[in-house]
Amino acid sequence: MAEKQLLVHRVNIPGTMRHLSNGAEWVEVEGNSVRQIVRNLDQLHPGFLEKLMADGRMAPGVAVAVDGVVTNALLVPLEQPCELFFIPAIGGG
Amino acid sequence: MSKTHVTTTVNGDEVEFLVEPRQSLLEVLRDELQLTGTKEGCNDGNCGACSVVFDGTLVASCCVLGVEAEGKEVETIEGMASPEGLHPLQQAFLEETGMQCGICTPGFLISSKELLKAKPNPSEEEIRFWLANNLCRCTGYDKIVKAVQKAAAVMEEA
Amino acid sequence: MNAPTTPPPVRTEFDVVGTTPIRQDGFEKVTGAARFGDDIHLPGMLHGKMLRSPHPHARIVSIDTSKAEALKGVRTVITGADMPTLSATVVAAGEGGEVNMQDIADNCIARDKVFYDGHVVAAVAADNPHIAEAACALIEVEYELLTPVLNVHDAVADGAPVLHEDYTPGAFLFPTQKALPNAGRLFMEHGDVDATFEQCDFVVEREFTTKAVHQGYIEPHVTTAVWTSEDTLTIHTSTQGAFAIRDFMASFMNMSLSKIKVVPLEIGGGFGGKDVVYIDSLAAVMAKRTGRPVKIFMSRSEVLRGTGPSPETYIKVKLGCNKEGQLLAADLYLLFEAGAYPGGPIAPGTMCALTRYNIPNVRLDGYDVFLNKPKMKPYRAPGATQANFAAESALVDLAEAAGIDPIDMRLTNALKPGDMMPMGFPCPPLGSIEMLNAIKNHPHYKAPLEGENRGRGVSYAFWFGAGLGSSAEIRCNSDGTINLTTGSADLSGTRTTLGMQAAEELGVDFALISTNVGDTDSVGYTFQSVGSRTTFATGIAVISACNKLIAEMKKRDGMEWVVEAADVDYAKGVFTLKSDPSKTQAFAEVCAKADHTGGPIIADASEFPEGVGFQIAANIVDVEVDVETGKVEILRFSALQDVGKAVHPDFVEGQMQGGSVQGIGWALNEEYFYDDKGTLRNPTLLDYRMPTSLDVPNIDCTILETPNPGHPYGIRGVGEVPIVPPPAAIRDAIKNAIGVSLTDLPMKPGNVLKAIWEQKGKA
Repeated sequence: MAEKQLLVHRVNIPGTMRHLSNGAEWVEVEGNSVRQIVRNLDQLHPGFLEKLMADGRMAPGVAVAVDGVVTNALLVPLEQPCELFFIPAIGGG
Repeated sequence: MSKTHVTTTVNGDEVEFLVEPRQSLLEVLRDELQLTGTKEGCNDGNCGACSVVFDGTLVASCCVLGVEAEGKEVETIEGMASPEGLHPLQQAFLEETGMQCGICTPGFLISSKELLKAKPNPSEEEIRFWLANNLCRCTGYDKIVKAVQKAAAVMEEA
Repeated sequence: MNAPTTPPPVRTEFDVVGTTPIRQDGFEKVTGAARFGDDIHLPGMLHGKMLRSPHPHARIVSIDTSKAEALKGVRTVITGADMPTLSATVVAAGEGGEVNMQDIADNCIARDKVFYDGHVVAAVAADNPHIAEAACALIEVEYELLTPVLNVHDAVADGAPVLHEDYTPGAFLFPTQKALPNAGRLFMEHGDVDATFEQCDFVVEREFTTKAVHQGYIEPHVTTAVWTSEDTLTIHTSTQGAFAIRDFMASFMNMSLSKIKVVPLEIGGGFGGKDVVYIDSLAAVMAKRTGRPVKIFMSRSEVLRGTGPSPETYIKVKLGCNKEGQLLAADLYLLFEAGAYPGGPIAPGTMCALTRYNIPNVRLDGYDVFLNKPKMKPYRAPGATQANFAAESALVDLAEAAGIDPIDMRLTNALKPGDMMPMGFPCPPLGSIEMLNAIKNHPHYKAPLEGENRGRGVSYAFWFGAGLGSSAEIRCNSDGTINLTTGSADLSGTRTTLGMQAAEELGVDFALISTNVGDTDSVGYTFQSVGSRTTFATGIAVISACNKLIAEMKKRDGMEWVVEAADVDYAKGVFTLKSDPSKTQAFAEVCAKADHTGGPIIADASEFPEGVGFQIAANIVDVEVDVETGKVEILRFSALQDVGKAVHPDFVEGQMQGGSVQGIGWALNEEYFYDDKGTLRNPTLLDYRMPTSLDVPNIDCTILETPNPGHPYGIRGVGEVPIVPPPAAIRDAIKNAIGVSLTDLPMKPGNVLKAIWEQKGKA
């Protein structure tokens, strides 16, 4: 059975977390879902997982944008390489 | 605290109730008579949500005591429509979208009803002046004023 | 996910969307029959009242409730010690900022410390509200006073008293390397801001302040709790989100979600302030202890003292451009009050400050500052009004320095579809150029304005809006009529606009659809009615349910002709056999035969839409300033907004007008007065003075429609952005009227006079 090829994505590191990535604004990370990407990012640069996720969900106050679309679909498989941004969750009144 | 027996007329019906001297007319209407159309927004006469007609005068029912109602006539929102249908003001508020959340609407309808009795053909300035004691946070007043203008026109024709 | 796809084209022709039917709940609202939170009376119901701290910062040493308990008619008295231990402390609730359940529970009733004037320390349930109030006065509390922190500068200064030794801000907010006390930080930077400022031809630096303002809903908070069995609880309340209340209550009461039912009654205004538990857990605990239903109705002063306003802020702006008016660099430093607990609107405020402009070098340094005031809450585009006031005012001053018309400067720098946004993804379709040109072409903008001390101002504003999850259920009746239930609380008419979307998608008359707001037992999880999401996101759930319904009905129709669903077409209320168009059935006919084709026809859907359409708006305002008194009169006000697609144009105008007048109040008059002891001095509607009908003119509305491809009809959220532009527009008008550039809200008579005298003094 052929293994599904791991996609490589560009992950933007928020300003407040660049001390974890040695100052890098962009990091290339493998993964087939957003959750896998975050876990792999944490493998490369420890400290991200506890900042970005809690109990398998995005941490309160954090949202994810995949190629510019804000999404909650952490586990849904990605089809192609993407650019990932972490942004404060925007609510409203 | 012992209660006083009060007999009064509400929306044309004679009613009686027992009330403590410290209870407001607003409290009596809502809690004793179950007429919950009149609303509490501030309980100190500053928002107009509790507006009723008391012996022919537009009042804030939170600033009137229940015992004062003895022998008087009270008109509330529940008495505004007739078996024939809605009052032209009520109909105009619906057609002109003169409300959003609706909590201030009974107060505005009572105030507007009294305005049009006193001035059947008010100018916009007169409408805004008369209604300045009724606060609305949702509409910005524009469509309320237009609803009153529409109702005035309809009532003039009738 | 993220497979390359072309989204389906947005619909452009409509039969129902765009019309103006009378709302279905209108009759009840104009006759006083509509049931709001305080209109419910349950047999045996008790009334609850709270005792609130008069001190802004203190440790509770002891509470003696014995005299209160002895008062005739008092059924129970509780303090923080009587509340259950939380089952979960951190839950995602979707609002910007940090959500710590223990903080929210402590905000309901203090445990060891009180953090603001008005913080609840005890509650009483009694036979009537008067007895409950009298009992509160008999409760004896011993406080150890602590030094209060009362403004943002004091809160972040070295050596400030620390409010929370231990707190966990969200991922974006953490104590900085400077180790500021009492703040979390949000920091974003692109490009080289400092070097670019050196190269700018024109630079302005300004400091702005704004005061706290309350959402001002006319209906105070109210809730009634009743235990329907030993372990099942029903909450009847006015709320923007029944499911959110259920989530909070499950955590606070340590109960399962299925054991709690929240029934949303009609709500008399929310604007973001009714998205959380304040009194529901107090009512529930007292109801358990007494075995009776307990209703708590907040007084107006409690609402002002104890429920979140939108914060006081300090914003420093540095903005630079070249000779052509191109904005090259921006540097913002923002201190926003969070209040007693972390999680104020610093994040959305910071991110909306300049997002409508394409600026290559930007530094945004925002702080969520804790201090001894009520916990700040969202107020209609939370944080954006304050940030917009600062950013637009700085832009106008910069344009003046550069000798460029401010609207032209906005056009030069307007964020357009495809431009990179500060948070790093390309801007989706947005009618920014169309909006700015619409200002210039507006009859108001072109009309002459004559007279002394009169001036015209303009501003331009941006707000995000939310997507998040909604559920809808749609059921056909045997007579061809339809029942639609969603989980969205209806703040101003959305049950009607959701019904209109269903009628549009189903191709039937709107009159056939009866819409309903469901409680937490009767419909799927639906996120709160906040963030301008209801017509957009719940609309998508409704449309999705309609399409499932049509698919099922095609199958049922097919049975008549012994074909599969794929052989059936459907349009505008008629099912047609593809192979023989003479074989048709009307919608009602298929419904009538449901019994024989498989039973009742229903469909439900839950959607979490991703394509939120951002909101832009603009104001044109004419003012006259009385230079003797400082009073500013609004002569003429025009609001412009891009709504994607107006479902009910009158309702859309209502949002624009209501938000504009709230913005006018924010600009000219509303503010919280705290004295130097930290006591709120104006907790009444006499002294917290909101606009009346006499204070404002008609609000003229221009609706633009740049479709949002994220919704099948192009709908964007409309509810929030109207409150964002007014303060900046009015400040601009005052500047043009009398040549004074104000920097502080509110622009009340005293502040205007001070600025006039200062200017004269300098001359």
